[in-house]
Amino acid sequence: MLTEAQFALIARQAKRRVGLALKPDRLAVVDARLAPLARREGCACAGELVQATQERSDDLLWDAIVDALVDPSTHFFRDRAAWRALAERAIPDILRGRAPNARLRIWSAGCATGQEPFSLAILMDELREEGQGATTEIVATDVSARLLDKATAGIFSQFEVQRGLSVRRMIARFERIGEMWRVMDRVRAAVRFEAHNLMSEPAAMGPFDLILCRNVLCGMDDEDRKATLERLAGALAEDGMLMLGAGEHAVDVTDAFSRTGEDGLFLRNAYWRRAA
Amino acid sequence: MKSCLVVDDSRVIRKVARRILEDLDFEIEEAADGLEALQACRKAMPDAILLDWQMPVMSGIDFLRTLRNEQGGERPVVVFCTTENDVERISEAIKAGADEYIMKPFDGDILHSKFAEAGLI
Ligand SMILES: C[S@@+](CC[C@H](N)C(=O)[O-])C[C@H]1O[C@@H](n2cnc3c(N)ncnc32)[C@H](O)[C@@H]1O
Repeated sequence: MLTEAQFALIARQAKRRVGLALKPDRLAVVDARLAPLARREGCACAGELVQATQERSDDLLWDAIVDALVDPSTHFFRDRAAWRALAERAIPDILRGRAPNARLRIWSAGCATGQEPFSLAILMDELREEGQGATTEIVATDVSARLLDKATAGIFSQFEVQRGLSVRRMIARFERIGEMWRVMDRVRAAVRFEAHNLMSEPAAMGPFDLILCRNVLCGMDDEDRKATLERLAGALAEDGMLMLGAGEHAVDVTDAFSRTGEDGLFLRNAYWRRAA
Repeated sequence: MKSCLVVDDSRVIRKVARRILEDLDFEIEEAADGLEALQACRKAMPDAILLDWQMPVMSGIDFLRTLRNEQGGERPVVVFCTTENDVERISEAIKAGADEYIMKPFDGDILHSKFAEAGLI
């Protein structure tokens, strides 16, 4: 088992690298989660892994340790109410403020294995088929190269493709290859995947009309959550919207956003400017 | 409380489905093939039907086609639950009147997700 000192060291690295706040009661969980990586690195246990990493001050190995600790859970159209709010409220509101032929730019920040940006691509495609969409550019980012690789492949297991997708959506947008299901090229082509750490400036990426950052900030402490929310606000158009996960808040730590009345959906305050 | 008829020739599958669906607050009836299912429906139309494809006596797809032509047979929400995972088979099921489709093996999350898609939850 990890010692408390080793755990404190991991917690410091996790906070510094990705803003992941590890509470002390997570020691046993962290110990178990690191076991496979320890084995791959030829160590007997997580404790030995941390010791080796520390002795060699191996930056890449610290990255790998932190990568093993992020929560990768996701599924298609996660939280049905949120997707209804996107389709019926957020996207129509944004489009109303745009020229008829304007291109919409959407950022899925913390996209994990890609279910979220592909859900977006499917939704925008469906709206377009109903004659109310717009040409859309979707940028999807995550800090984990491991998760991003899977997302970029766009290939999902039979289990994954049955969580959140109706059968009609599944057969309209995916093709079966053996036991797996691959998103069709048209959907795949609508999403651009990139590595990005939300702890750093998204400088060249913005401005976006809509940002989804769902079930990512809940792992952070208030300090990192505030800073990240303000970086996101800085990457939004002045009337842009932010969609967080169900029950996640933005207005409690920053005045960059206001509520919209829809759970998890926030509007950037046009007057808001980042403190210099 | 909504009712669901679970149609599968495997007792084990019926039991697993029953346990999950009872947790989702459904009242469960069981049938071991399409003909038994048809008889159950003629007695009382359920709100939902979880339907296997390959069964002795009468297959799921034959049951569904017959059901949809019966008095009141358009009403139940039908969710296929089968090992068939060919796109052509799935399309055939939808054309025959299926509302949702589950490819086995399934778990509670998938059943929940698909029943929600079908508007049952
Ligand atoms: C629980 S998943 C959420 C996936 C998806 N947004 C959803 O709601 O289903 C959280 C994701 O956030 C990513 N993440 C955590 N910290 C991050 C950071 N500092 N920068 C970028 N991505 C991060 C993780 O790698 C993980 O893929």
